[in-house]
Amino acid sequence: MMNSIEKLISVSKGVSLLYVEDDQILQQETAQLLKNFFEKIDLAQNGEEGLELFELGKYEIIITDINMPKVNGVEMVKAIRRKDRHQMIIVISAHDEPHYLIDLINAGVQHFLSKPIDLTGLISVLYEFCVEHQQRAATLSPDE
Amino acid sequence: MLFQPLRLRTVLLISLGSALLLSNALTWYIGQKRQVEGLRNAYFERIYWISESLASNTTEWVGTANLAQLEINFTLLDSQPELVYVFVRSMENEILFAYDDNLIEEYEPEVIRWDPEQIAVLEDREAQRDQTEFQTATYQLREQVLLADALIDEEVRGKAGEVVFEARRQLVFWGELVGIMHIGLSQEPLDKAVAENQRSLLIIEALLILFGLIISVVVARRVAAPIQQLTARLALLKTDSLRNSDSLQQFESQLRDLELADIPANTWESHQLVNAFQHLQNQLLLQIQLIQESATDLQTSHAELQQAYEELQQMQQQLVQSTKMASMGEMLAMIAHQWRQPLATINMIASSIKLEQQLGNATAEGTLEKLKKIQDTTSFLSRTINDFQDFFRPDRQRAFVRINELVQRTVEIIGLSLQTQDIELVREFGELPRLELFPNEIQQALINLLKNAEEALEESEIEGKRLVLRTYAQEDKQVLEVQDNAGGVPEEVVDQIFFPYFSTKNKLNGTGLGLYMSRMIIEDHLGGKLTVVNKDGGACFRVELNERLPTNAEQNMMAETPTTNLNLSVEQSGSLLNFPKKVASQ
Repeated sequence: MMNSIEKLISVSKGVSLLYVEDDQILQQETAQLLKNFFEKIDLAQNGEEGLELFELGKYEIIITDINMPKVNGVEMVKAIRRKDRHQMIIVISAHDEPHYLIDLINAGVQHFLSKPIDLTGLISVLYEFCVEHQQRAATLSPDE
Repeated sequence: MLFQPLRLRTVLLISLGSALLLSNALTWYIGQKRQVEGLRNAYFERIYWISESLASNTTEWVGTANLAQLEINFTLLDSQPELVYVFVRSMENEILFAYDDNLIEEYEPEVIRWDPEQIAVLEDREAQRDQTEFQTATYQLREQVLLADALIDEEVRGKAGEVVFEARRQLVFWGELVGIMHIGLSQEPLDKAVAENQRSLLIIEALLILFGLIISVVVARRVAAPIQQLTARLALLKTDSLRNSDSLQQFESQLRDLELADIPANTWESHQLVNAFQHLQNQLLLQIQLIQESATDLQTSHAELQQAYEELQQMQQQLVQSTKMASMGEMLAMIAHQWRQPLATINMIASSIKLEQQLGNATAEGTLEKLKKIQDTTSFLSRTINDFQDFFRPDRQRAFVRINELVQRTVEIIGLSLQTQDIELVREFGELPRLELFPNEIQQALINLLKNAEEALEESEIEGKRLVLRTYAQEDKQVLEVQDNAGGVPEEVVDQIFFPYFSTKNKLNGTGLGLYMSRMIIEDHLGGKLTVVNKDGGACFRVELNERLPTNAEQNMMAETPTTNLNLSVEQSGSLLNFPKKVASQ
């Protein structure tokens, strides 16, 4: 466990993150936890806010809940996908929305995490994503 | 009952007898009168002939004044018993001869009352004699009648009261009136004859009456006997106790055993009567049979009805049960939903603490703060449990509660999902006093209404979804309105939405029982009213509640005649009867 945390910290520097969650307490607590790994974390209350932030800045990773007012997670993911096919997205699913999952898989969501979030699982997914980001950055930079 | 035939016979006899008596008396009276008349005439004729014979024998002796010869002649008179007296007067009013002087004195005949005028009358009548028909003058009664040349004077009463008929006769000798002969004859022979005649008439009458009586008795016997027997047999029928069905059977057997054919119907009339009664008996037996058959039919159909009713009741219970289960399922889903976020939060805080420990950057204050947050969240969870616990408590307890508080509590249970659905919840609560309610039940109904509105809003595409909860007082009632803006109930189904298994929702989780259950709770249990109208771009469910709950007795009455259920069975009997199949398929 300790190992995986350290591994994540070793790759997470410089990675920016958007976290979309409508439950404020959960949002704050999760954000506090994530701050242990990431420097830049932006928070959104719902899909609408999430999309606005997505338009303004570039995030390496987007973590989102599904059930949210105004624009829900599924709609937001679909909107993002239309603009960026490669955006890395983690969807937190509460298991009671199975009908959404197929939509999300079709929208090309790479990873699902079940609620309540298992810390080990979260760290390992974030690690994978960070590594993938680094690889992408490495393959892109020689061309520049 | 025994009096009737007797009375009948008596009436018959009396009427027959009195008719006979009356006719007999009449004939007797007329007959007697005629007979007496006849006898009288006959007697008068006899008097005439006696006077004729006396006159012819005496005229010569009076004319020649041969008194001795006259006396000799009159001695013969002794042989005439009815002769009371005879005397002859000369024209000089001298009594030439008298038979029985004493009697003459007693009767005081015309001797004293001699009147020359009377002779003139006699002469006059004599003069008329030739012109007048003999017979016409002969039988005139009740006056002084001239019989040929004899004048018969009726009823010369003697001193002893004896009545004597007096005949006066002119004695004409060689065309010259030489004297007048007075002949007194007793009325006795006439009386005797009349009495004799009356006696024989009476005997005949008596015989006739006796004969009539015998005949009437015989006839009455023959006529009355069958009637008597018939009545006696009919009297055996106990019609008084015909009210219950057992005695109907008894009555039937009695009727069957009457044996009317045995009655000796020896006259045409009684034969007809007995026949008519036999016909009646057969008809009655037939009718009784029909009644018994229809009674059996009735019993069968009653049993069938009873069974159907019991089945219906059972279904009703199953329906209530399954509705309860459905709402329990909904509640559980709500609990799961409501708990997911707090649990995720707790989990996240715990993970956070763990991570900080591992990274070694944990501070004592930070950790304590996080632990406090965990405690806050767990106490919130336990509060929600209390809410649900109240709701699921099985006993139906009456309580005085404020409807606003109840609505608020219900919103807390369901509110989170409204928020997620992006539904604006508006509370328009009026100041209201407490109400007597079954809090759990009204809450269940309210959850159903809120869920219904939520689902309607969820399906609709409208911008700015709103759910308005409104409470206000109206007269002595309190009203709660649940108003959405999801387009309202289509007019063609507005009458059906309170029926069980009616659902307009496309989703699979619409059981179709929620609104039905709500109405049952509000109307049958709480004695209130649940209606729906379309207004302000959506459906408005209106709950009307009384200040007090109905008493238990009133509730039992309502349970026996459940208005909602009755409507159901009439208008949607199909769905009710198919109910078990539906349950099975679900």
